[in-house]
Amino acid sequence: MKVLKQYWIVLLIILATITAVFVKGFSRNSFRYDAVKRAEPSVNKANIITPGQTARLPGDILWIDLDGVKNFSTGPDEKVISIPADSILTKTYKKLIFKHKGSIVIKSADKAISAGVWMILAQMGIKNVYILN
Amino acid sequence: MNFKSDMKTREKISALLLSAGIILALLPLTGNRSFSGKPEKVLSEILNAETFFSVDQVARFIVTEDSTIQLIDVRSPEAYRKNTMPRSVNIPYNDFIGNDPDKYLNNRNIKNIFISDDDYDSSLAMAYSKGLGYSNCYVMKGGLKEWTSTVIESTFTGERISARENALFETRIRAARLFNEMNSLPDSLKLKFMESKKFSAKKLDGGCE
Amino acid sequence: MGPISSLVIMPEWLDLLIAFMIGTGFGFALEQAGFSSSRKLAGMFYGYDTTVIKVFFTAAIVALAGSQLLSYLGLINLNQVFVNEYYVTSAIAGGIIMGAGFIMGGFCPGTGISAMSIGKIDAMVYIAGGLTGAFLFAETYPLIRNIAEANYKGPVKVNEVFGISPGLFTLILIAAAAVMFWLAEAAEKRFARPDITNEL
Repeated sequence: MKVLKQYWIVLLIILATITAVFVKGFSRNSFRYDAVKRAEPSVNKANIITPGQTARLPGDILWIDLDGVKNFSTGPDEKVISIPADSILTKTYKKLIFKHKGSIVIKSADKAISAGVWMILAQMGIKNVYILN
Repeated sequence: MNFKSDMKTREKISALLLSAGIILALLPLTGNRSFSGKPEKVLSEILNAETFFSVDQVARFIVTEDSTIQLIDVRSPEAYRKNTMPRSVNIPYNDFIGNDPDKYLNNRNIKNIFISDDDYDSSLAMAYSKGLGYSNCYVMKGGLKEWTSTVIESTFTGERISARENALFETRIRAARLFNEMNSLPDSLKLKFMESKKFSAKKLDGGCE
Repeated sequence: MGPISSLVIMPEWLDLLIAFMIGTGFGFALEQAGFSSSRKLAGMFYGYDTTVIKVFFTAAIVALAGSQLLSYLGLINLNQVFVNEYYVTSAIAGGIIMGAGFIMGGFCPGTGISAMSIGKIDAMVYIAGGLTGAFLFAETYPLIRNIAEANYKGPVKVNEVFGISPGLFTLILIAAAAVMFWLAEAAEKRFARPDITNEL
């Protein structure tokens, strides 16, 4: 008790630091990974996948159409969802994406949109996300 | 000198520093940066229509020699050598990601427009840059494919041309001329030009130099 | 102000003002720690007064730990911090010259300016000597260039050389500082000079 009284300011600062570190570390509302490492799959094009290659993806596949139209020619229908690109980080969809255990395949008629969304999801920590070619 | 209170202060500072050291040792710190800002905000910047310039806008920048624009071609050096955009520099995508982008993008007064064959690599480079806090990054929509079909192969059909169409067509013709002149240079001259446009690592100011 | 100015856009005058304020704070801290006294500074080498190593090393590890924590929390960008380029030969030669000058003159450049600002004549002569040396170095650089630029290693960081994370290196350095402070205290007892320290 005496020690706590003497060192209360030290303990307070340490507690505040640990709290800030934990909040930053576990927050899904921020970026916390090495940007270069997360962007690596785009350098060697490992993030682009053809319809034929999707069979080799591990786990269940979550198909996301970013144009608002379910337009996948492969994949089981029940896992195809249509999310406009600018809504992909809303609470509902973010929860769905982060909770999904397998691979995620995104598609858009506009390559710029799929590229941009891929980069954001990769930098947020999602590893198995691919762009359908 | 109050020795007892000095000792207590030293113990407190030591405890604080050792704790900070232990916390830091356990953190996954790297020398590289991570994206900054809120993901939603970065995404909306990336998808914003104003982040994309049309090939006609880029043609106008080239023709008017706009010094507030920097064209960055992220294709491979071989592809760049084959079809060189006038007033552009070549930073292959893998070099761009592998190096500190600050040496290319640190001038906040300049608009950096990324170019690739289509939108894919250029959009990735733009998204990467915006994520790291460089808001002055854009994409030439459609890439070189769009440039070729709209600017280089531009033709006018019809009987009458409005003033606006005329201005657009003229810009396209002049840009195409510059493009063709650039790409008809012999390889040795082109290589010299490319060398002169290479970025050298910008040293940080500081130290005792 | 690299680490801050790359994250927050600020006008140049504000950048320079922050630098000025930090410099003022540094000079103030040096003077109030007693570093304008050449006997206090020389005491570091003779062992009777190890305040210099305690103050500077503490400042270094506070800055190191603080900047890394702020960098992790995204508040500063450590890639903007200048990393000195390492030339082995000139680092060794310069270190020897600097050490000899420090113990003979009783000042280093920063503390010399701090002492000069309070009117100490020996500090003024010391700084004049330092500026003369810098001028001579610049004028004779073509002759000594090969030695000065020998064994270039680039802007290396210690943790990268040892292949450990920056955080782990910080912990090791803090532990080393604690050991060094304990040794410094032991040295002060061993080489005590009450005739000097009582006057400081």
